[in-house]
Amino acid sequence: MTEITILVLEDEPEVRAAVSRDLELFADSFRIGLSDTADDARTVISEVRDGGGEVGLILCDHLLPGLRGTEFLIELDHDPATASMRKVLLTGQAGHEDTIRAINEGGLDHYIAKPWTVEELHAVVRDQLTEYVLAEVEDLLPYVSILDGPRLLEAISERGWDR
Amino acid sequence: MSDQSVILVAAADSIERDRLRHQVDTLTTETVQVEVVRDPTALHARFDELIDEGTLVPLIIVDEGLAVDADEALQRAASAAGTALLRRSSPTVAAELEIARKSIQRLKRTFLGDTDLSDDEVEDAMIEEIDRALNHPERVVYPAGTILLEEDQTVDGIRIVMDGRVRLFRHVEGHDVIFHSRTAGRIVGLSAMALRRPAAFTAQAVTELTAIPVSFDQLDTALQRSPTLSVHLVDVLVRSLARRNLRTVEQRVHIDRLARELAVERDQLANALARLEQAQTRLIESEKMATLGQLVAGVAHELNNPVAAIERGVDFLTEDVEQLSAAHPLSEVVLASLDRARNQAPLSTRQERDLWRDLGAELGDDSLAERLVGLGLRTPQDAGRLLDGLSPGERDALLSEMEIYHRLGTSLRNVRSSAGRIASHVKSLRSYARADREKRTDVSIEEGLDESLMLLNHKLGEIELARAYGSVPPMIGYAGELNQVWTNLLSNAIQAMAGRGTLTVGTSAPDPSHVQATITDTGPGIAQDDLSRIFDLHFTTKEGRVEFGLGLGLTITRDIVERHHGVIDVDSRPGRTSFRVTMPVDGVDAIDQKD
Repeated sequence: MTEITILVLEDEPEVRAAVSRDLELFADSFRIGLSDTADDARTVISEVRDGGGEVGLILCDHLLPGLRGTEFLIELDHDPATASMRKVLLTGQAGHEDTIRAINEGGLDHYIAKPWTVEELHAVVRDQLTEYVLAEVEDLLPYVSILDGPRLLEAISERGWDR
Repeated sequence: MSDQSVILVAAADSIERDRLRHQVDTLTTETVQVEVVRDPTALHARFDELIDEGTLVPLIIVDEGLAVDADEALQRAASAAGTALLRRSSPTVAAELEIARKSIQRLKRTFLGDTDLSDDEVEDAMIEEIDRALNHPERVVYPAGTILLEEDQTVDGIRIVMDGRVRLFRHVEGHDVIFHSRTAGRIVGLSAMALRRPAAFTAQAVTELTAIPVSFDQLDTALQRSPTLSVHLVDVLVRSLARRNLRTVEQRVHIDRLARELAVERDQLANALARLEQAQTRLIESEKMATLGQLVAGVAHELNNPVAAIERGVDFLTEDVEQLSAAHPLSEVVLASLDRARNQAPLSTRQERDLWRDLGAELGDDSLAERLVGLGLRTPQDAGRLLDGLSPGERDALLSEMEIYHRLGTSLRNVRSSAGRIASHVKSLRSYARADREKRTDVSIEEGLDESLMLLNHKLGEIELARAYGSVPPMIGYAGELNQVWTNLLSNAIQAMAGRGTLTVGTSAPDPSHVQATITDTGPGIAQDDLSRIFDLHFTTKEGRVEFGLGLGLTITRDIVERHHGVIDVDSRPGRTSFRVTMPVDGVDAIDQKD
């Protein structure tokens, strides 16, 4: 089974640690990758792919050193290798213009404002990963318990009929 | 009109002719000749001849022996030519001769623009003549305010004013526009009479008025009875109309001057309005800034208590957790784990991955290596000390226990450092906003630049920051206001570079009594055409984008620098724009000096 990684791109260690701990709920079924710069995130993505896995979801801070999160998400969206990755902006500071641009140019699937609540973060990650596995993964069964079970089961039964 | 006048004398008797001629000779001047004729027929012929030539005939004197009275044709002709017809037998002949003499002079001189007689004398002569011709017509007293004529109404006579004043006006758009007051003259109904048309003005008695009303019919009768009346009347008419005309010219000139003055005043008003609007905009901007400062100071103050509580709370939590951990069966191990999480220098995500990859290779177990590095155990030795001799189950239990304490430590550390960051932001906000901004103090321009840079740090992106601080004395000024200057200049520079380039911030003391700050960016530069306008209100190259609290324009920046008796200048070319602020160390206390 292809291992799916959730990548957290956040330059502040305190925030990164907090997001990473809030994601532990998913740690049994997904890998949690951490990056502090866009460059490092590119490295992680290519390493994950080299290892036969995929990054299914990226949670990206908006204000990164030297690059805006929205720009990075748009870059990922324009690359066929990473286009299918679900992209979530996690920010306290994105201006409307940046956000609108990111949505219009297709880079952004969801927007979480800082400070976030763990319930909100879990719900968004669950939904986005569900979308990802529905689109990209053949065997949905391992995700039924951790992601959106009813939707996955429905899809499984439909696929079963098709066969 | 001819230059020559001729007085005709008619008498049949040669002795009478000579006597009349002798009397009339006193009237003779260079331009006035006396001609004598013998009979009515010759008088007629000569009179017609002279009139046809255009020669003025002011007076015909007829000896009573001649039957001219009955000759209405001559009377009509004389009346039409303005010629006075005198009977030699009239007891007033001497007086009439004197009047005739004056009339001749006047007739000659009126048209030359000069006369010996005053208006009053001329008018008195006319009134005298009217009195005589109409047998002293009735004087009427009109109370002040009486309307004597209504404009555009038909007029059937004139009023000759004996005493009191009249004003002439027209109703224009609900107002009375006064045309003549002093220049009204003594004949009311003048232009109506002269032009035979409805009244041009409304005439009103200003004071109580004594006047002789004379209908046009009466006037015709009087003119027929007294040929000299026409001379007087024409004289009065010409004078009155000339004065009115003069007055109209004066008014026209006056109106023209008023119009020009009004135009100048209107321009001045428009300028004043524009300046007021500018001043208002500036006031609003500085008011906004002052309000922003108060808001920031207030928010900073409100944040202090919770920040203090968080900082203290983390310390208490740390103490309590340490106390609890001491009672743990594996107290040494879990306390060490807690300590590492709290104190170990954090690694970049890449360094951390490299570490667990290396350790994984050594231990032959990637996931174990990842857990160990996560716990801050970075070498095989660390791992060996901890895990040697334990079964996989025991290892897992131990690591899980340690991970709890490591997470505790991480959280304590993160809360501590985050609270510290908030406290430091609060401090710089307070110092930036300066609730005590009205107080002049010793200000370090370097501290101001640093505080402003700290607030703008998040905007720097990939921009490199180079500080070149010389040793600069403090200056006397308003720290909060100067921070606005630095923030505005730095923010503009950062914005101009759009995320890439080098921001150079320098200070120096060009001489012992001045300090200087220079802020240089490597942006595209300011167009030469725009350079002269950048300090104007509302001028922006930011295409309308307004940043919170910034984008105030360089106008306020310059105002503040000038309030500190400093100057701000700019030097810009593509790739290098430099704003330089030079201020005396005496700052706001300095006396203005010209460079």
